[in-house]
Amino acid sequence: MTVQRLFFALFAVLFALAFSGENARAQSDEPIHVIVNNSLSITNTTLAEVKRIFRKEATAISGVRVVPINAPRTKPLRAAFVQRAYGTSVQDELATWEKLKITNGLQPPTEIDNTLKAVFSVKNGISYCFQSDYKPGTAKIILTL
Amino acid sequence: MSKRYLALAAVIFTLSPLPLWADDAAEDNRTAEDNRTAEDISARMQALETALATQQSRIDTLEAERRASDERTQAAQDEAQELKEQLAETRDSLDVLITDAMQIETRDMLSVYGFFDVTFLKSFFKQKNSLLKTQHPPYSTFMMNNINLFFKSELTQSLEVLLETGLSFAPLGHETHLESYGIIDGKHVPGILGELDKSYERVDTSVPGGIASRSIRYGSISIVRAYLDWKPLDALNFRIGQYLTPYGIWNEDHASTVLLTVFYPHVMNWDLLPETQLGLQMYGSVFPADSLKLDYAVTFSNGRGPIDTVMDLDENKAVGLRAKGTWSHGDWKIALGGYGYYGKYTDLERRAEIYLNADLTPDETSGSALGSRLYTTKKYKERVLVSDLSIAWKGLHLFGEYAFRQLEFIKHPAENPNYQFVQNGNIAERYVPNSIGRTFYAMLSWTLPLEKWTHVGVTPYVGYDGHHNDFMTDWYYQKTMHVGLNVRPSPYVVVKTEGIVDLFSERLGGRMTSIAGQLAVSF
Repeated sequence: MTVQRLFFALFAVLFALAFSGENARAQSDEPIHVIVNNSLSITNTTLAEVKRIFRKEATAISGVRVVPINAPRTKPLRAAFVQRAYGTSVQDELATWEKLKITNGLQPPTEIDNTLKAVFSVKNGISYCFQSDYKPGTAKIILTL
Repeated sequence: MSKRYLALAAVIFTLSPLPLWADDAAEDNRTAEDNRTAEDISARMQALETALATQQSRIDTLEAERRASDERTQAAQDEAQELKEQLAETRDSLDVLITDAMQIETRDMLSVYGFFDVTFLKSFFKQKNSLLKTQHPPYSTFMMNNINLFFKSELTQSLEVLLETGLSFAPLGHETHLESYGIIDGKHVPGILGELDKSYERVDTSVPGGIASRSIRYGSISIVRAYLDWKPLDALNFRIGQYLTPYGIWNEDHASTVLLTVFYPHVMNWDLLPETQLGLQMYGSVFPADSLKLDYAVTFSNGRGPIDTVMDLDENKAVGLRAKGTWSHGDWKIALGGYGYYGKYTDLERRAEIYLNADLTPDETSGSALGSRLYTTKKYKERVLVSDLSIAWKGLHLFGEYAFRQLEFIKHPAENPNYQFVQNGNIAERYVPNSIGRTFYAMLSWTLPLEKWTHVGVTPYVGYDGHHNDFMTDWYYQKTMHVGLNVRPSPYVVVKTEGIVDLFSERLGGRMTSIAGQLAVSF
């Protein structure tokens, strides 16, 4: 019984540390790059356009069709992006998507763990990543939040 | 012995200084010459030392250059090694990326989702024998009013298909004939109301479930939406199929998980506009500024009809125009929209005819003895205008819709005897008149700022919903007040509690007060 308690306590501490780190990253000021596939001719954009793209209100930037890719809803990157772009929480964003699914039949953007890889791979991909995760050459930065 | 002496003498002679002494001048000359030679040697030595120093300096310089060169070479080698490692790392990353490229699918080839709700309702009637008890559940009851399934497929980046179906227990419980008694002095007088006074009829869908199985109650499936979207541009999209009429706020937000209140507003319940239309729609959005969005939609459809989802019973096609502007800035979001609709409703009966002569032989004077005739039994045109306004600031949300419907008959049908409010029993000569219907609702909600403490969304709300239609009489109206609370423990679940006060004319039963609860779930 004592050993089990120790394991449980250890697990709880590790869990808390892990998530405190994640949350800290989500709440940090580390810049977020909005990135697109290298093949796209887009060089820059505005926050308003990015918001529309990730809500699927619009499908193109400067006439170039893009495919939004979200980070998983459980990741700090998603929380940081939603907070900076929309000023809201992931919970609120999911509630909005529940409404859009019903109203317009819209499906939320695909969620992929490594957004950088996804943008590299998807021809019209647009996504975002923390500055420290960005690798030069793999994608094009069009906005920094 | 003598030889020894001779040899010794020769050595002494040889080594003795006698020759120097012999010539002093020559000695002086040699000394001077030796002095010059020493000076020359000294000068040469000095020159050699200078040259040596120069050479040493050059050697030192060359040595320094060599060391520097070695360092540069080492640095270049280190850099080359580093670049080599980076290249290898990048190559590995690219290999992984390219490997994953085939596994990323951003389109939803088929998504299945939906929503359902469970509602509890208890109504209190002002009058013990209120007529409203024939239209509302007379006792407290649980209900499942919506079980909707969605099938969505993104065929390509610009082609999408959506199918929404509604599962229902209907027609179970549908009262095909509501028995109406004429009461005189508290006693039923059979026949006094003519056709109205016939036995009560209600649909029972219970059927045996097959051999050795339990009986079942079959239900029904309704097609709410089924269309193909082609979206070549944000500003120009096309939709074909059956779609929700793009008016107001709540007709398209029709899910119980999205609606604020437990029940639909009167503008939907009273069908001032067709909920859906079958036909074409062109729609799109433009963004004149970062904070401004303009939406439009043009509808072209069968319009309203008794079987409009099967076929149109006239050549007239209903047209509609939707326009909406949304302004967003900071915490503010204001949207103003409108939809205009014009269409004709036509009901008719089709008959096959055989044309005969008096002797019963085929009459082919018109080309054929067989023909058809279409008899229009009901026809009206309707004009509807709906406007909607939504103002949101932080958690506060004020919104509402106003609908105006003008209905003008071209062919008046007899009033439906089943639901006529009888005054004198004489309904045979009465026809449905032209009418004007108006509906207005306004809701105010406030999502409490609790995000610092919890993810649970708590939204109290109040609202008013009024409907008036001069279709029947001036005394027909319904005014409804709502006070409720929505609790959203997750984005997929909403729990609603609501108090509702409905006000009718005293003739219809006066006030009806209800408490309602609803659990709505999307999945």
